[in-house]
Amino acid sequence: MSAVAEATSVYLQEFRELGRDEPAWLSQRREAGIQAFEAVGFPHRRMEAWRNLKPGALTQQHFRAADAVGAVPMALAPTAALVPDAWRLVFVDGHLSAGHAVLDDLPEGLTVRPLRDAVVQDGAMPEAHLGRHAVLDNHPFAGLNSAFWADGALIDVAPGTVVDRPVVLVFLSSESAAHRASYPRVLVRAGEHAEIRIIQMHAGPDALPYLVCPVTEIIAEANSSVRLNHIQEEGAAAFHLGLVHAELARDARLHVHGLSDGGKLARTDIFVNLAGEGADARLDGLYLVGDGQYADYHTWVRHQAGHCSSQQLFKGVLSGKAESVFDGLIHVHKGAQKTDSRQQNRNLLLSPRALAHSNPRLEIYADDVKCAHGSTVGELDREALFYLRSRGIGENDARGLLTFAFANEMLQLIGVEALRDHVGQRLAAFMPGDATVKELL
Amino acid sequence: MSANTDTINELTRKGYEYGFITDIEQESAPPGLNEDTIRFISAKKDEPDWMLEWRLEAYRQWLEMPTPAWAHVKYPAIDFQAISYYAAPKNQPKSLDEVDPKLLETYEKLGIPMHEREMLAGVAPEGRSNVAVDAVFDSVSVGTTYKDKLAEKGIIFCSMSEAVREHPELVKKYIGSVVPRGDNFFAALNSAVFSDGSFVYIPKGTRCPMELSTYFRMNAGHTGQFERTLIIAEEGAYVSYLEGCTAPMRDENQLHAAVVELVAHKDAEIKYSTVQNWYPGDENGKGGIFNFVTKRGLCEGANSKISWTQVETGSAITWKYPSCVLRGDNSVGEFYSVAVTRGHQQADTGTKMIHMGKNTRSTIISKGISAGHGQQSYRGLVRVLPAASGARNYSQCDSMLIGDQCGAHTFPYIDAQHPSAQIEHEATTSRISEDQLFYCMQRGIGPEEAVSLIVNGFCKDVFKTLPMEFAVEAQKLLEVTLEDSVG
Repeated sequence: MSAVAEATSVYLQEFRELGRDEPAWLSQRREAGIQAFEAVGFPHRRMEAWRNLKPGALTQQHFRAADAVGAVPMALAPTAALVPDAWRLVFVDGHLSAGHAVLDDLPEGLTVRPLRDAVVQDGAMPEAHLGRHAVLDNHPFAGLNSAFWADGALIDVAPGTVVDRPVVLVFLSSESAAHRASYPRVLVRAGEHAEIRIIQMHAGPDALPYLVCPVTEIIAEANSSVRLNHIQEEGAAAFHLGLVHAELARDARLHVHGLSDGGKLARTDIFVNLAGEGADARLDGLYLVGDGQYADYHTWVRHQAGHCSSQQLFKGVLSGKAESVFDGLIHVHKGAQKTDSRQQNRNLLLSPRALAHSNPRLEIYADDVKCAHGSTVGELDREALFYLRSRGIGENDARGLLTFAFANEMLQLIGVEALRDHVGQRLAAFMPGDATVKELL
Repeated sequence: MSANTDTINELTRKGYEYGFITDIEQESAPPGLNEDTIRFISAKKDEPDWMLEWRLEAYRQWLEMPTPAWAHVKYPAIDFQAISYYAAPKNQPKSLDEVDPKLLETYEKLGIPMHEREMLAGVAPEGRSNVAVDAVFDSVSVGTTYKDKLAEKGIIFCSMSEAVREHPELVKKYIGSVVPRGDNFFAALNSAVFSDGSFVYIPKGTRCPMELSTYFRMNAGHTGQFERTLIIAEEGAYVSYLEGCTAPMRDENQLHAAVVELVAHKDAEIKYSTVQNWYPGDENGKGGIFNFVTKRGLCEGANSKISWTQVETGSAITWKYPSCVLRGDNSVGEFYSVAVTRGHQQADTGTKMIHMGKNTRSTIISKGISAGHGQQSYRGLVRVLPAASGARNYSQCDSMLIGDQCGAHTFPYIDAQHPSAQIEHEATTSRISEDQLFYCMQRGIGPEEAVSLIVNGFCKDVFKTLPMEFAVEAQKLLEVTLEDSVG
């Protein structure tokens, strides 16, 4: 089998053909990205962090970067308008869809700009941070993003600014992106004492294979607070492979809430470096994996300074011939004393053909720490099912109710009502049971 | 601080009391590994042709394999051409009576009873109960006790070389059936050059009347020990098997790459206990044994049970995963482990439980203690295959850290492919709390004793599964090992 893209140089060749007119520092970082990809190539089973991912179809063709903005697909128009009371940038096929942008009355101290403009207008900030944090070595798709990103967003919150409305970034793929790739790039900096919530949404049409490799870098300075809702609802044939990387300074707080509910092959890596004392990170995730889908969350939480805390809670519901991976690392560096770190992963299998992998990992190099992780895999509680059925609720509805009960905890952590309703609908569509029961929820 | 250093040094040294070398005439193969080395070993053991072919095939597979690098351990690359693959005392005894007295003395020093007559006559030292011992010295077995008594019941307990000669049909049927030749890098190496080990066969419906035990001793320098153990329990049989090991103190790293295969047929039970106390290297991490071992048990028949218990206190590097393949319906796998790393020791150990049959159950209890510069990882896999309805697993791995230079890591892998499977994994990491220490000390218990008390409590779940004598030994070992490690 000679896969087209296994000869990695097709991407290198594409890169060479592009020839962009950009500042020198940016060209260098793009070059570093493509070199990182060239060095590793597509992941394979022998790479420990990628052992469960079968990239087969991904390597069979060359996904060229989409070169123009597409039209927002009709079906996705509501998605693009989700969370009405917010500032918004909409990207289609990796390029800005200018007509959808809502950036009126930005408060003083908040900069939201398409990244393409930002690298020219806000030279120093992107130069200092863009591509300086996300690790490319072990994530070939982040390397591709660094090399190819066409647009994205820069969000810069000045020190002391508390932003009361969320910033919504919508990344859509259109019909014209079939067999194409897009590389959304987001750079966020929250200055000292600043607060911001960002909603990052990925969606696309079903039945078309396309590739999306997003990279989000977050710099949270001292005592700032960053909340990110990361929602992945790609089309059923899509490949979504991306990462979120956050650097936390002293007393900074980060909350990432992820939903993975689409794509044929979807993986998001969340890297968090707790670099200053007293920093706190909370990572939550819900993955709903249907027949023929593969969903993967990898977390890498590194406690580099003492007195930091982190919490992770990831829940998965699998049906049909679904496959999921949760791989979570807690790494406590030497000297990071008084670390308090917890991690939980719960998986619910609704079908005998579903396969859940759960790899909670601890690496601890300091002795005065509290670290715990737990992991469970199982089906719905038979006793609970029986209880509901004995009260006249049909089996399917009972299963639906219990599935909802399992996943609802994650919904409650979303924090934005409009978004919670949206995710609730996605959950209702996914779970067993008929419409009347779902209306009750 | 410096005033303490001497005492600490002394204690660290004292910590390993089996580090002597037996001065005995030995013959060994010249260092190096090629097909001729394998032919030499095979010829030395007077093996049939099929065995030699099997070895050579394994060697050819090994040549193709890359050295694995995924484990969480750091060590210099091993030069496989610098190791001698065969070493044995020159005078090979025909029976137990002819064993070189120097060897008997060695085993006496190690506390291993080699005198069956004394014991039968009721003058057993220290009131030890009857244990049949197979003593392996470098590459050969120097004697097996109670063979005749066991043979009355139809039990075969002998060295592997003897089994290849006397019971070729059994060996041929089972060798490589649980750990195939090409299973992994070190298993392939072992399959090519394995020297001695124990062979146990328990016939149908027999309960082995005494504990069987093998004691491995590495003596010669520049050698590796590559033993192979095979235990077969026929339908309804039961056996409890113990394994112990020590080696002299040397500045070089020596390689120990063993393979252990267990087969439990219907209703059979095998209990396998290890107290591993290879030389761990000195306080600077110089020398010590590389213990890279493949151990796997197959619960072949319904209702069979395999239980692994290990106490790992020795070796510079330990890298092993005693595993259970639960093929029979209702079969049970257990893994109990206490691993201690101190000084510059590293351990990457754990287990694999592969659930294939219906209603299979497995339990994993792992306790890791890390002190000094020790680095310790628990790595485990629980896999539930699509046919394994009703599979149940409970895993708990706790780590204790003593000192701020050590590390404790946990890498459990859970792959569940059946909805009725119930899998739970829990892990915690902590250190001995000030409160616990204070409580003990205000009641007049010294700090070292207090640590030992707390650590023993921490390990109790595992120790209580060990056979009585072993449990006592393990507890003592833990005390010695942790002597200089107070917080």
